[in-house]
Amino acid sequence: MKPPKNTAKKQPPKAVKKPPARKDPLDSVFKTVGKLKQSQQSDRDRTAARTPAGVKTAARGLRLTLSEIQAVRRQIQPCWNFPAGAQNAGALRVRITIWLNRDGSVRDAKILDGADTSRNAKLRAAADAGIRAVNNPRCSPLKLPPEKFDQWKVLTIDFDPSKLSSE
Amino acid sequence: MPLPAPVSRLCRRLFMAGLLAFAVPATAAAQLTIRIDDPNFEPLPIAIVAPQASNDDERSTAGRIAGVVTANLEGSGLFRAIDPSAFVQRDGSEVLAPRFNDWKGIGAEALITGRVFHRTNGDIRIEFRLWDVATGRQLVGRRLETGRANWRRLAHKMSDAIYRRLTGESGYFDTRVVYVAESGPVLKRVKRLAIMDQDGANHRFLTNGKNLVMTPRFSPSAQEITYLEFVGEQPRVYILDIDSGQREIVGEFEGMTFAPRFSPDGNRIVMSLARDGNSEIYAMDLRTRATERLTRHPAIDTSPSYAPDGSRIVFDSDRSGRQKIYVMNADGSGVRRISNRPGRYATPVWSPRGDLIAFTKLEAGAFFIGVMQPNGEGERILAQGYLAEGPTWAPNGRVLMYYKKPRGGTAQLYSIDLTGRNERPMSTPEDASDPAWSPLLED
Amino acid sequence: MKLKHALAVLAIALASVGCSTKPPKDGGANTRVTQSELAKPGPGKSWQEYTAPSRNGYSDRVFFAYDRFDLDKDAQATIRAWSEWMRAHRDATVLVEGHADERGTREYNLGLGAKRATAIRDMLIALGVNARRIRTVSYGKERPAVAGDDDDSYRQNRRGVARPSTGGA
Repeated sequence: MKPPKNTAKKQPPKAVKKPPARKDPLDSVFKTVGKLKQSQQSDRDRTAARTPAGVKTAARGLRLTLSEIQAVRRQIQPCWNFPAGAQNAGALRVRITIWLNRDGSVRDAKILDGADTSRNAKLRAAADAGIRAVNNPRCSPLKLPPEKFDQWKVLTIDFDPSKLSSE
Repeated sequence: MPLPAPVSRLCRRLFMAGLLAFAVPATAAAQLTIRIDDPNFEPLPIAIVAPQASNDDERSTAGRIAGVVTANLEGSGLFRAIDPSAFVQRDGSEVLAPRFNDWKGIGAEALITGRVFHRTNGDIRIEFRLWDVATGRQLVGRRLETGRANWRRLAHKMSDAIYRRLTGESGYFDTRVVYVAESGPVLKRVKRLAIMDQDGANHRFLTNGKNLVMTPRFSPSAQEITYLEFVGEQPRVYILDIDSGQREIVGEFEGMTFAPRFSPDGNRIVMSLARDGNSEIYAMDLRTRATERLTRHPAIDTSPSYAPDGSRIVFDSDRSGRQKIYVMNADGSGVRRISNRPGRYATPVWSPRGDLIAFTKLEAGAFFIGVMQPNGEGERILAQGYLAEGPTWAPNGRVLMYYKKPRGGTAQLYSIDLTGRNERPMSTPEDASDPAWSPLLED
Repeated sequence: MKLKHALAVLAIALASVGCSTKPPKDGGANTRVTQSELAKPGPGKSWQEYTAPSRNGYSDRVFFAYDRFDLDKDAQATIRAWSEWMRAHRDATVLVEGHADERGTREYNLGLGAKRATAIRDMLIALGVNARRIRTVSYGKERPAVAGDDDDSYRQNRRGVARPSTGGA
């Protein structure tokens, strides 16, 4: 099923505030958001691994900063609704890849490991919840710097409810 | 919109293996993953459009069905029905092609449309569809048909289908509750068995109040109830057939039998037998009438409840000096205490999905309803009261019902979901205690 | 049977006489207030008289501590008096009820009531009452003696009650 494509044209790209320049964005974020440490760690690893050492300085300005990533996280999170009291929430982790328009609106969203959802009603419901989250008009378009479009035109959102399992 | 195959393959490799240092072309570096690990538990906004109808009779049915579905879904605490006065598309006319932007505009994330038909043979037919508003996908499309008097069950089945698709877990709306209706002065309480739909509709009494009755529980087929009745001064476990009203005693024992419960296959009843004042747990095969003693201890052993696979039994015993919860194998072997915190623990009930045991806890003069894992870990208190007792599980293992009595007040039934955030009183014609939730009804 | 009855009645009559005090004469200068215990009715009396509170009789019930079924001294004295009555009424049988307060769960309280009733029964047997004359029943928390959600009500509801009936009749 194709999402409506006209949304992108209707909404002009929004002006995005440039994040304040930081020498090392990691430090300040770690101080304030301790619980997200792990995921940020992997974000950093990933980005670092993909940046060829030679172009490091040039690419630095174009890379999404951690605060920009954090902003996306904060923007989508309120729209991620999970059925309360679900059993074995840890098994209901869903990764959704989204293709974005330049204005930050979601052009398409796909479940990454989609094969399983047809067999598992709970996983399917969890995947639907993720799809709803990235499509919810309350939480989009995503506010991202247009000059870094190449960095965020495709994103993967990892909806991970596993910490509910311990409750 | 499928991804170009190489990209898609790449994604899979990337995220399944998690080998981030893999040789990734620089162009794919845009694939940033953002993890979110703190979901919300807000009720899902859902638009429930009264099914389309072609005459006044049908419209009346359609309105009542929409009302029942709305009450069911909202009552679960997982959904918020959008006020129909906010609907842009009001008449349900676009049953097959809803204008999703209109529904998005009013904040709906899911949409139910349908059509109702009064058939000439006296049946009602409903065709309904559940839509994902964001993507315009149809998530459920189903036709249900039944006799006209049975319209509420149709609405319950519809609710169950919607609940199941959106939560991934089975519903609990097409179910009934049996309980003890209480009337009269405190010192001469009249108690009657009563049965009703899960939402309180179709209420009727099953006994006349002449004899004291308590602790009813459903058989797995939901056709029979086992319960305790005082005939004269003889408290005994009975089985009552709901439709025929026939009643049968469960075994002739010397001593009081009480605290009965069916095994998951319906072939056995496990209960307490007090002989010479000592309550022990026995299982009785309903076909052969053979009885098996499962506990041997001078303490009070009672409130047995089978695990859903029938392999184990959880029960209440004060053998340590205070009431605690124990688990044993179905043959009585391997007794193991699972509740280790302070307080008195009672009425353990194994969840139908097996993952939790609900219980009543008494501590510091108050009563609590809680759940713990079968190994005794992960205790969570969901509700409390001056007197609160006797949890029973909805068949999907996500909702509990119990009764509560405030100081100086009267007993009433409540339901609560596993988050403990959605406690709701049940309305009954009389004071109410000892609820038991049926399994999902069969077609 | 009848002879024993008669003897019992006589015994009570004698006991009553022996314990009564002379009333002061009208207008007398006696300012002393004398008091003495009224004799408890003898076991030959009817159960109603034997246990009538207004006659300072024995109680028809004994009380238990919270979540306990052991008999304290008062309870033991009362049950001893019941056994004497049973001895004086050889045709009587007794139903012993065990009750609990509402501060317990329903099923457990049935078990607790059974233990309480049985504790009383066992003592009656130890005092010579034939086991066949005693039946027990547990009402758990279903039949409170007093309504009320306070400690005194709970105390009164945690009880064992003897309900004799004259056999055969």
